[in-house]
Amino acid sequence: MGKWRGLPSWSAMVLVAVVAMIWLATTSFPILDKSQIVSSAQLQPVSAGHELIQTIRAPKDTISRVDLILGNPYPGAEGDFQFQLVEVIGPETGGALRLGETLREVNLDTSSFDYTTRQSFEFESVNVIPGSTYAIRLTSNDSEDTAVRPRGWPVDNYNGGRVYIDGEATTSDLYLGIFHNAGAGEILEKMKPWRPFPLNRSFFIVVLFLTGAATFGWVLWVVAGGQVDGKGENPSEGEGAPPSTILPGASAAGKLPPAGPARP
Amino acid sequence: MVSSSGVVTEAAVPARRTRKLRKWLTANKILLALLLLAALKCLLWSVAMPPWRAPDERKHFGYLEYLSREHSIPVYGEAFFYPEDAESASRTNFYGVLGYDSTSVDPQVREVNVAAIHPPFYYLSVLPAYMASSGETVETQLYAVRIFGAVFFLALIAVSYRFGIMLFPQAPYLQIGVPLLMIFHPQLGFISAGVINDAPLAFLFTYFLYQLVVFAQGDFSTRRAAFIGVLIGLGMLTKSSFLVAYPMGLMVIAVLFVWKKGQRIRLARAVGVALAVSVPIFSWFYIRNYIRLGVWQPNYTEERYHATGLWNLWFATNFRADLISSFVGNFSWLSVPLPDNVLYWFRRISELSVFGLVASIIIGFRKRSWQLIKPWLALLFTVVFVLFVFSAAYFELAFGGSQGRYLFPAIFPFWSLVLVGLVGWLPPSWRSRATALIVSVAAAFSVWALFYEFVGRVM
Repeated sequence: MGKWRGLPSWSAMVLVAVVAMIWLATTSFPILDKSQIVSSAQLQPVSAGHELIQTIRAPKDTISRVDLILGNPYPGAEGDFQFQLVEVIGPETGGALRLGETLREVNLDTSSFDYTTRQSFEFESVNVIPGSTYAIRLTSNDSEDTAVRPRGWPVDNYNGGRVYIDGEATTSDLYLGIFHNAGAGEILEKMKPWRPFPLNRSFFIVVLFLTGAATFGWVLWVVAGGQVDGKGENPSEGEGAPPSTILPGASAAGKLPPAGPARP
Repeated sequence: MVSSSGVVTEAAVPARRTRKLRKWLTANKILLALLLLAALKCLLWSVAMPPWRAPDERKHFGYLEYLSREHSIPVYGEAFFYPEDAESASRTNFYGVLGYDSTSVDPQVREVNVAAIHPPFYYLSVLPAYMASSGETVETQLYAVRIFGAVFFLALIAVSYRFGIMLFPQAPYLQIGVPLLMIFHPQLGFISAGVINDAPLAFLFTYFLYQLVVFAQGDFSTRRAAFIGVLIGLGMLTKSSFLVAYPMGLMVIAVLFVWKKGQRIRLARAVGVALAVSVPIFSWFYIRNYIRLGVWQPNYTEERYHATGLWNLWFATNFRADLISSFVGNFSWLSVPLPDNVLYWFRRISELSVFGLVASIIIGFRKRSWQLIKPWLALLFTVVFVLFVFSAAYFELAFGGSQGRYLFPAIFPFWSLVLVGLVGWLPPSWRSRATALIVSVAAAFSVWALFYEFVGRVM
């Protein structure tokens, strides 16, 4: 019996490490390729009959998510806010913009947020041509003309495109984040540049992560009521129990030093 | 070996040391596991963070460079950025963080390093890592300092574990659970991994609080008071927000003055000792500022909310939401906030824990065996946290640029109250399992925040 007493804690360690490994190997991560984060200005509201278009230059060969900051200044707003990723056909000349096929479309319920917040528009990954121009088209069926206010910056900050309001070119840019989906390999690659050895090795990062997961597995098992070293009482059932059931080291450290003698 | 004559031979000494070490390791398994987890977490965040992405990291690193090159403590307005840091910022796409396409930097532009407003303790502590990596690239030196600086986060976790043992001797799940929640707190991990003076501040304040509680429980000795004085002195020599320790300590002393009438002379002596020890440790820095600059603590303003007062700031601006966001997780120069639904759930969980805490205290009054936290302790911890919230609000009104990390000195009280609030109203036999569930959720959230939200979104 004695030789098996450490088995549960080892099992907890292995189990959590395996779960962590499976998660890392199978999860798809959104990776930011381009951003324009200045969002101090409120741009033209998007309401029924109006459209706001931001042209972008595709940074990679796929796009799977676009982040915007949207404000909804009055509670109880209702309606659909529509996000579209659209092809741009022909060059942007003289403010004229010719849109092609709609590649992806996401609807957002305007009542789902009532203050200025970052909204992620996630969609099935779409293939694009890196360096080519595409358009983010925002429309709404809410007749209230202050319905949704995208935030951005009125001065050209992002050189991959600009904002068009009802077809008119402006110098503004939306707050913008353009993402593509990738596996753990690309996430680990992202953690390499400028780091000294061994921090720039994927293997090192994976070992750190799995060691952390295994350690957490053991600690979790102790918190849940497992035995610390295979002997003694369950440490997590200490309430109302005699001091002997307190964790190793606890009684000595937890005991307050005696107060000095009282003086008049 | 012990010879027949009873003399201990030389060979016996290492064996005894090994036995002692093994005994210590066995007795401190949990502490060591927590420290290992904290170290791994810090290391992962340090590696994950590209250079210069911690708040004001270039400024803090510039302070270190100044110490190393000028062999003196910088004075505000007289310290400048070094060209190689600007070149590194350009090389490592730092300006991409701010959304700019242009990454060119003119190294000839002399820009004042405003980090010189800070006292020197943190910078002097991590200076050995900077010096040891001299001759390497600036980025390598930065990573060396980041990793060395993790020692403060480890110290914070160690003190928190000891604090938990003292406060909750019969509840091991709290002793372990609170440090675990601190380890898995995304913004705390991010801040502790960067070159920035918040982690030593959090450690020193938590240690001060620990000593204050020991003191409040009856140890009014001169030694304890002197040690508290050292901690306050070092805290004030780390960041001026440690000043909160004085009203905090005086409040506790005032209560003791009323309750412990027979001990008033000892209390007065302890106050005198703490002041006599603490003030000389830090006062020279502030006096020097006053002589050179005409102010005790220079600062610069960064108006954001245009609030007319505290009430207006709290209820009519986005300050509260921003404070919560940058307390939970808003990374890389506050340009990578966690999604709103995360903050929504954080608020709901916090509210639930407030109700749970009140319920737990009421239940504890009726059923002593269910009591998890003493009401005075809950009150003390609430006061500490609220004081730091007020301090952050005051800073916002006076100077601007306040962030959730300014609440980190109260991180142990915060997570203690939250965890007690979440599990304290449950039957005692359920609490350890409930804690295990909570820390599991916190761990999953932490990993998700690091890889999915941080590495994925940081430029």
